[in-house]
Amino acid sequence: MADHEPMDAQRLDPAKRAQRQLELLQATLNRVHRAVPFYKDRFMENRTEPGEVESLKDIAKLPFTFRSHLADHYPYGLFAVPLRDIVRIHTAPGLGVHPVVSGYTRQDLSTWKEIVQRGLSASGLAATDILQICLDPGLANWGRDYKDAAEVLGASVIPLTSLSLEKQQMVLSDYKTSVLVTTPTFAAQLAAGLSSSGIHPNELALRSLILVGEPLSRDARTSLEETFGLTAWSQYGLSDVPGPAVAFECEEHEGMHVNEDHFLPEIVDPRTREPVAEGEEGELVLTTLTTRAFPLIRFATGDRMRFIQEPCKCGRTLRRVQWLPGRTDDTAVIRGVKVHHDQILSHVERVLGFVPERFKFRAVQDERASMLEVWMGVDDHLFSDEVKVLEGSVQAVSAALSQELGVPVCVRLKETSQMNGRAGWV
Amino acid sequence: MHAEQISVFLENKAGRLAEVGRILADASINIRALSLADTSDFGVLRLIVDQPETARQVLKDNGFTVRRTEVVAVEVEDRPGGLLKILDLMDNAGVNIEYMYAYANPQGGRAIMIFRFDPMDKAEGLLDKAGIGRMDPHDLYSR
Repeated sequence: MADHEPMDAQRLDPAKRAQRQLELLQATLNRVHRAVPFYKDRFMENRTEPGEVESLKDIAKLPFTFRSHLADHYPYGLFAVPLRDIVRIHTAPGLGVHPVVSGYTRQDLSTWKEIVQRGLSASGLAATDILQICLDPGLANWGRDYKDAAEVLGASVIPLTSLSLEKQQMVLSDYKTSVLVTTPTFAAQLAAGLSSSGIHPNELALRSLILVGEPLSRDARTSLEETFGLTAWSQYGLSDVPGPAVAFECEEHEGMHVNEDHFLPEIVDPRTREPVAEGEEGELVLTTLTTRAFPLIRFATGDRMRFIQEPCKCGRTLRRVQWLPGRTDDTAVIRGVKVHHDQILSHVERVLGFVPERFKFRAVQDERASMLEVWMGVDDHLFSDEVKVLEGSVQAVSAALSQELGVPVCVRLKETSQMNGRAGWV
Repeated sequence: MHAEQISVFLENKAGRLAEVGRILADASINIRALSLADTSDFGVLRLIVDQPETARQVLKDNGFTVRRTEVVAVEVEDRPGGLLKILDLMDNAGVNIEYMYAYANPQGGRAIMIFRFDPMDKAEGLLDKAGIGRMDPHDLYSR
């Protein structure tokens, strides 16, 4: 099947695209100003009116939207349309106790399908492909979006189901999967697991890996491509608000094209909040241009990126970004799922009634395991002379965190004297 | 009449138990009885010592998390069935034994059992009614 959309949209003259973006931006600003009290208040505090945005550069006059804002308006506070126009509601882990709830209108769903199709088409997905989706529960929303888009392109889709690594390997091998959508972490685990389970990568029909949720380093790419004898494609998306494939890799594999007809990307200095010089690295900030139900104005993603200035050899005029490892905020990415410092603390406080004074956590990433490890210093609050009470606390914290964050969690009790510093990432 | 136990949290790693022993020895504290409840990751050390408050303080000063817990110390006849009487008593009344440990008393031919019951007051009522006496803490700590 050919591209579902004409290629023209991706090869539009940059000046024409900028004009179109400005019109969409102005329309979005007017809509949120009218329909979402949060944005109206933020604009007022900032002494800005939507009418003052007369060029794309003027977006710098507007206030940022941070992850903490999303959690503050649980559940429907940031919706820009009445609930009767909403056809789907997504839940993702939030920064606080409440999750982030986002909605889609019928039009939003079809826009997302087009966005994800564009990324999949660029990676060469065809109707003859068998596409398997393998993501952690924390990325379940993306699983649905990839399934919907791949089905439109006519591929045979094996949707996201929670299977053990062994079962995923069985499906991958027996069902002759040709394209796998997963995270770089899981792909590396799979590569390690295959060698021990006696399946030779050559026996697989796998020809493409679509890797999401984490930046793909050059080394990791080379290692995966050589192990499996295939091509890896990196795609970038947002896991807490919709959705996947905001930016995608083309056949040149030199950075990712941002879907600029749907999003306005900026890169800012995470400390000063000023735009960085063209080509410098900073935090990616996104403004939605076509979203109806859940528009975002200058959403600070926390992801580190830089713009690639040179035009791409593929002919697409959509601007490219290079996704860099690490975060600009208090977040770690575990199996593609963003986990924020405050999120961990708020769930622990809810479960135990307090946060232990000595409290540390870290993302453990290796080929065998990838999880959130939590160390709780046993202080006077937490201590009991009964082992079952201590074990109960471990289990309660572990269950709540893995349930709420959608990643595997391992909780350990430590002597307070063996830990230092305040609560936070190790 | 309650006895006092010192409970200490320990990570399950080499040298931690010896560290507790060293701290107590340096403070001239004598351990009368102890039990260690452990899991693969951590343990809870329970001690009966001759100076509970001093022991708590020196361990705390050395960075350990310590708690004083009330327990019941009973002298049990050192012969078959000596313990069963108490277990049956609690079982019939629906009182849980959270944990217990023992040490044989070289003098007097009686064993000393340390109990933590849930609930404690109900257990003590039952012991009183059955005429089972508790050890005087003073005797327990210093005998």
